[in-house]
Amino acid sequence: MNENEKHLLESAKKGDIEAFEKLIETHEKKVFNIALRMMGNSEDAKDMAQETFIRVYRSLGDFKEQSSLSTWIYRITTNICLDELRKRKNKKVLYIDDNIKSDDGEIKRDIVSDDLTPEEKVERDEIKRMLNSAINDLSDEHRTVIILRDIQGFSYKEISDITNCPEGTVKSRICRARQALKEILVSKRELFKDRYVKEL
Amino acid sequence: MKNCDEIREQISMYIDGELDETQLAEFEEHINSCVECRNELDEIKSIISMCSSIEEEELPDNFREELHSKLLAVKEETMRKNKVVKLHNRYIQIISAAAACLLIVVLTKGFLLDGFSPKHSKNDMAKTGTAETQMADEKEDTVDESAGISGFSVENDTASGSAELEGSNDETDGVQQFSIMAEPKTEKSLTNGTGDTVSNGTGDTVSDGAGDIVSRSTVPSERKHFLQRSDEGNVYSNNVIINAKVNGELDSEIQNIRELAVDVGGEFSEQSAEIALAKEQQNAVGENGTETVLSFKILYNQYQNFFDSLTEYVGTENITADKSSQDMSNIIESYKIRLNEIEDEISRIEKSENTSSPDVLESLNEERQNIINEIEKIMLDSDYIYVTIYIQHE
Repeated sequence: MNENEKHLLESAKKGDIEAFEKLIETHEKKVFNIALRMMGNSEDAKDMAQETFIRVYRSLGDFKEQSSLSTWIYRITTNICLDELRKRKNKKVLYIDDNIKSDDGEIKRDIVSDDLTPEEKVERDEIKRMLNSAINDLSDEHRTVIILRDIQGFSYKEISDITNCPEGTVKSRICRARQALKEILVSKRELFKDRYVKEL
Repeated sequence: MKNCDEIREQISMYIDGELDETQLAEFEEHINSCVECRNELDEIKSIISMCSSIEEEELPDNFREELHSKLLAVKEETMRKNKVVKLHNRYIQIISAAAACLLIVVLTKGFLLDGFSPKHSKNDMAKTGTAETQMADEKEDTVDESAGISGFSVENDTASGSAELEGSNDETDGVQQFSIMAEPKTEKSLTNGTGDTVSNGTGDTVSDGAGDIVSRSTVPSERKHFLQRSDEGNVYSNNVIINAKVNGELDSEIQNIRELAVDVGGEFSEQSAEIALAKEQQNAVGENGTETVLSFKILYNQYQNFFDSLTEYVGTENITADKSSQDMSNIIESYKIRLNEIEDEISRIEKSENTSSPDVLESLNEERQNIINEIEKIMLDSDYIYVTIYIQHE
């Protein structure tokens, strides 16, 4: 943390909103994007990201600088998202991106267009969509590490700090998360009749 | 030679460069000779590269503005909580200061007067006190008039306030009456130009002075009073009363509705409950037969979101809402008039170089700040809607 940040932190701890906003400026986008992948839609992501910063603002006094500010912020982000996801599991609220189950198995609520254009761009978008939905299908624990490691590119050490888990646990969790993601993609790929085997 | 399961456990670490030399050698040896594991490695690699190619999305357009107003609300709430504590301390300070003044004045006067007139009356004491502190006006006014003119002493229900209004019919009252006289500047500041201090033959001294500073600082009774007032202008206090019917298990229904509110920034603070209490004379969460009341405040621009999700949750046919806006401008106006009075008094004291009044000056400044805070609070509150939901269980 440089001098300027220290100064901002001190002011922010006293309640200075402007200083606080400067302090978090460089983290806002990342927090929003972590929340976006965790929650699966941008409306919820916005709420979770704002909730994160409100909690950060409220508890700045408790921040003892044992970890870096960014690590601390990202830890709060993932915790807030996980709490919300846990809450929702009990609430059974349907969101646009959720899978809904019918008697004959699981079907996508999303409307998948039947008339396919041959353009590569469309295919790429489709793969992206499939990947995002596969990430959403991961368990909360696995999704968290995939987001942190493979989407955001944090190191094992950083992920261990953010998730408050020993590095050994992080390593094996990342390994299993990637395998799980692969399994989900494989099954989705079969669902799409091997259309995108080449890309994978 | 390791088996395929062990190797697959290491694929992830291999990709991330986390294997040590021995592990690496074993791993590569296996991969080169095992097609299945090599395929597995390639697939994981390609998934990782897909993940890393997911582009970061920009913040939503209004992200920072929304966050800013939420932060302001948090700060305001924190400050208000601190203020309550501060006011408590101040209450004690004023009482101690008054007590100290009283003691000095009583001792001094008592000593002097004893010398000349051992059987002096309490009325004499009151008169002496008035003369001593050079009250500007001596014309007679009534209690009601003085209260009306100053415009701030309505519903003065604190103990100190009522004590001052009592006549000096016994020793204790005489003392209390005198305590007011011991704070001439404060009293004048409150009655400046209105001449509402009475000191007549019966010793009925009227003052809405010193005690008022204290009572005005206590928010709840103030709000109750002010919320009943309304005039034209453009600062509003907004209320919505929602009636909703639910069918599920009551506790979980309440919890779910509460969460809907929290999701869009609804605040179930003591403050909002308190204000809702003043507005609705209802408990924040209290049961009344099969009806449960839930009160909170929510940012103006978030209200529709909340109402929409609540409608979705309970069903259109089970919900009704009444919205009302109350004009707060008149109240702000009276605060501002009071503010001017205080500021005039402050500058008058400063010009007069009266060295005996630093405490008075300090309390005036503090009162000035309190009024400014109160005005700010009303302005900030106008960004919110106070929602009271009556949840009916079928």
